[in-house]
Amino acid sequence: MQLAIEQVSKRYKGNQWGLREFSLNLSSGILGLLGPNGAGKSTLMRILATVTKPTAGRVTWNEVDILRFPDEIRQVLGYLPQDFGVYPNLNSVEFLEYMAAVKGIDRSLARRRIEELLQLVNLREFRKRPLGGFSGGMKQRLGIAQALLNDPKLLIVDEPTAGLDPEERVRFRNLLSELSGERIVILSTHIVSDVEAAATHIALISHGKLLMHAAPEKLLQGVEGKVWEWVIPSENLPTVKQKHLISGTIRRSDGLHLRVVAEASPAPGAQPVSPTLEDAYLYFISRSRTEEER
Amino acid sequence: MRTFHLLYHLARADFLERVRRYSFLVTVAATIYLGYAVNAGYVTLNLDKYRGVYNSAWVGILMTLSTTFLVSVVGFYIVKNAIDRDRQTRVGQILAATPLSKLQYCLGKWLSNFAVLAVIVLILAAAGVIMQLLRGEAAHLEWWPLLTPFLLIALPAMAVVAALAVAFESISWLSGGFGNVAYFFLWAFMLIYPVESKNRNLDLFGIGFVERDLRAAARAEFPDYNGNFSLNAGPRDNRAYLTFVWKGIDWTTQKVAVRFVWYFAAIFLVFIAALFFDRFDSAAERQVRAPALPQPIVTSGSSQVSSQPLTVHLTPLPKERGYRFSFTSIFLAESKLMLKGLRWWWLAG
Ligand SMILES: Nc1ncnc2c1ncn2[C@@H]1O[C@H](COP(=O)(O)OP(=O)(O)OP(=O)(O)O)[C@@H](O)[C@H]1O
Ligand SMILES: [Mg+2]
Repeated sequence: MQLAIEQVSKRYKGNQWGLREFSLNLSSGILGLLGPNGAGKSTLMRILATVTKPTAGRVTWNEVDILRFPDEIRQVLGYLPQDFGVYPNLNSVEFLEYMAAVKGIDRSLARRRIEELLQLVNLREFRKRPLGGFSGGMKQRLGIAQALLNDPKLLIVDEPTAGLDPEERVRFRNLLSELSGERIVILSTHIVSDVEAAATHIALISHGKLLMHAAPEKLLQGVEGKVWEWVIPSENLPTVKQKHLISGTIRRSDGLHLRVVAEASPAPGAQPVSPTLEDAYLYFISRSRTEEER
Repeated sequence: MRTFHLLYHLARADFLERVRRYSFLVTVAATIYLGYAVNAGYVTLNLDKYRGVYNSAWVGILMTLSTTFLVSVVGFYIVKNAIDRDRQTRVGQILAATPLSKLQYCLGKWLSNFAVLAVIVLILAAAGVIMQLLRGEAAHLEWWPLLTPFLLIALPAMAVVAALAVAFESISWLSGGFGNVAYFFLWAFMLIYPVESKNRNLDLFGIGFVERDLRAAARAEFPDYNGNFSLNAGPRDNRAYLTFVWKGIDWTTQKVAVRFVWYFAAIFLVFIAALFFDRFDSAAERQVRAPALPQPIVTSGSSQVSSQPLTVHLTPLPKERGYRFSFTSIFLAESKLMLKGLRWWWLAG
């Protein structure tokens, strides 16, 4: 199983670049796509899902060019778009039956899988309710179910946890870990903790370009010794945050405990702490910004 | 087999989504009203000073002609939203990521369009049955002459209308207001052309076909028949007409075949539609951006929510004056939205 993205660019109307000469090679595992708003995550996913065509570049699935033979990838694809939508007057069973038929799953198998998936995403009790009455999170869970219908070899989920309550997010993270194995999962998110546990690789993307593609441990190593805990009086915050990259603040009785990401200790009192993926994300994104400004 | 299963589900989902919408109730109500109007004598078929006795054949043809005329134009605008619905609901992009072919998709939408129009035809056929019973001019219900016009004249026409709707939607320059106007002219042309040109083949609505048959029947009965043929809609006509008994169209194999050719024409149109269909990747990317879902509060202890504290400067709002301004702008925006949602014929009706 091999997904190769070679020099892919996408230009939207009005000279707006969604993606620029983006290259990435993937084999089985879970890839977490991280990047700020407008970085090009959804653009990349839409291209991989064959929903839109790149302006330039090539994508191959097991050496087959998916621009020329899109069905090659569509047959093994599960896709949850960022703005997932449904027919409001169907219920979840009807909607999933529809999707199953479109994906070419035969009837009896579809029926079984639909029941299992409704169980999996915890929507069984709402199976007969019109989807128009679903909450955002319930709809999102249906979207996850629909992406898993055909037991995809390539699962592309665009911000799958958006709108999920904390309990459902934990459920989804567990599901994700179980799903891994002989497949490629690509997941985008803003919530770094979503991919912290499960992702085998992280791709950082900003302004349509790939900043970094590495195992989470590698990313963490990159900021080792660059994260500090620093206690300051709360009135100093405005001046401090103009100078430093702050990845978190907690208010305690002795003042504000800041998490600062910096090459060197920001102040004599600051203690080095072990970095999280979130710190690494902020560090690399902000570094790319300053490099760009230069 | 696989394809039938797929087409069935494509059409089914679309059809169910449609008929469960409130607007479909409006359509049904309007159809029932049309059935009533024909029943009540607001629509009549006359041949000079003659008319047929309201037996099954006459009721069938009168009802069928009314149906074909009206539904072929109004029905087009009713069903011309199948692809657009998939754009609006954003279901289209999920379909685009499946092995579904453009042709399968267009065929599915065509079937769904056709099913909606067929339901309307069915309601009007039922109205025909009621009509004959109410008129009481011929007590005996004869199913064959009553229903064959619906099956062989109205339905093939609806198949073509359904296909035209798909084609207009998938051809980008016909999918908007221009297409709506263009269809109206196309419709008018298809109505007038067979009568004016006596062309026996390009007769979608079967009008020339019925006209010839009825004329021949009237001429055989009344030597002084002047050849006039008119389908009238309007205030109830209280003139006394001389009546004759019409037995219905003699459906020869050749006549049936001519009607069936329209199904092939419809499928051909669906092929054209499939050629032009953009598979939800419009160059213009008229994408509806979904409102962002609210982000839940993150409770995991280890990594705090990224909180780059911001100093926010918001321009304070003026107290009194802004209010009226915002009311009018909201009102304007709302009415614009409303008008966008309604089609022009909705307002006209
Ligand atoms: N349909 C479109 N037409 C024009 N420009 C677009 C379109 N979709 C995306 N873009 C642009 O392409 C860039 C990348 O957008 P994309 O949606 O891929 O970002 P993203 O990383 O998914 O962001 P987010 O985190 O907000 O979902 C942005 O600058 C955006 O403005
Ligand atoms: Mg996105």
